[in-house]
Amino acid sequence: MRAIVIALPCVAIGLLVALRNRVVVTVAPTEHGDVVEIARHTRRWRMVGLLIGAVAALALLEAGQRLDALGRVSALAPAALGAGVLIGTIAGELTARPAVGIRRTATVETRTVKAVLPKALAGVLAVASLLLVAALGIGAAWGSADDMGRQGRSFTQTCTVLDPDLGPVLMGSGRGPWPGSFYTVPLAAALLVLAALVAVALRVIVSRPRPGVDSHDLDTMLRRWSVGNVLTAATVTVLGTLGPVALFIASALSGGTCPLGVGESVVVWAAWVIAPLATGGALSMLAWLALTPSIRVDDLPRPLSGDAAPVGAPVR
Amino acid sequence: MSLSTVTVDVLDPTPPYEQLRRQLADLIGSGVLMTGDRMPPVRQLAADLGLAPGTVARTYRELEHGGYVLSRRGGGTRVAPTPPRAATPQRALEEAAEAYLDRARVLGIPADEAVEVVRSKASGG
Repeated sequence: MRAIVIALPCVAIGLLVALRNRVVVTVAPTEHGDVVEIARHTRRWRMVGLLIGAVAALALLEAGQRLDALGRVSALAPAALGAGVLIGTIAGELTARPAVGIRRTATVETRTVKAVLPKALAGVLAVASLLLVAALGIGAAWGSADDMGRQGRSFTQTCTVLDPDLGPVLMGSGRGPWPGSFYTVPLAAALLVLAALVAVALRVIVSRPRPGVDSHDLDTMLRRWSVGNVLTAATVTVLGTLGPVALFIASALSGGTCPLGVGESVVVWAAWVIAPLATGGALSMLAWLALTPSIRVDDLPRPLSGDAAPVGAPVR
Repeated sequence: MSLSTVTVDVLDPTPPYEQLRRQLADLIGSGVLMTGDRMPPVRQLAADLGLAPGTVARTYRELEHGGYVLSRRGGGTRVAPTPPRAATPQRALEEAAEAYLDRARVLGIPADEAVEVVRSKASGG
């Protein structure tokens, strides 16, 4: 319930910002027919992928409680969501084919991912990925076995405390769940698969056949949008994973009996800041993903009163 | 920015690989594509033109034999350091005219009528 209370405002803010900044390019009904068709086709597939990814993520969250009460299956939900969008994007781009006629024209060019890469979004993804790698690395390095002997599931501290009656006393505490190797190994495997899917998606977007030379610029814009959606889906996954990981790090490091070292204090402070930002960012970007840029075909003007109708009597 | 383009007519009696070779050779020979410029990947150009990758690969092989391009495994195909400069704009136009007249002959249109069509198009008809 608390998660929904936090999530809903983030999604609402994301939707509002996305709606306000949504890019809609309008073209005439007789122009760029192939690009409009490709845009609709790829968008349909992306939405199907988003839907399948969302269902898979919810299924993992739900089934995760029954299959593995320790949360390893549930932790893969953001990766399942991102994978759904990426697979939908790949399927859409691979099956989008412009019509070919008798005379076929192509631009002599070498298309590259770099040329259609939205740099700001790529920067956000890079920073989020670095933070996630750092969080998983710290989790794996500082993790220890829990009371049941499961490696990398707990954060253990020992220290000597001066007791007024007993003198120096060796104290120790283990707190969890800690995102150690118990969680980071399956998460890292899922994120590697996701990175491979991102690479494939970027490649198929760039190599998709280009429609007529007249639509060159619009087609380039469409590719930039598609690359942007791929990066957004990857960022949703990375932030959606980073949020809970940071939260568990912050929770486990806080409230122990032993004082924290300088490194641990920095990490706990950073984790408390990153956890809500990452979770909110993931939910907001999820809203962005649903409201991607689109191409609108301008309607033909309505006939005015007295205009000659194509068939029958004049319009009155 | 003007875009360099190539066009393939599948009804043209000249095989598509040769149509493509001629146009790319013209672009290189006339200096539109400069030394070291990267040629489009075979699969990309084939997909854009709706041709089999083998057709474009054959074009590139012919261009390589002619000294226009250099292919390197993993490094793509680039315009050769000293490509032949024989394809002057005048020569390229003559070749295009020959191809046009060949096409007219296949369609059963006499040369004078074909020339008349060009004149009419040039005057905006």
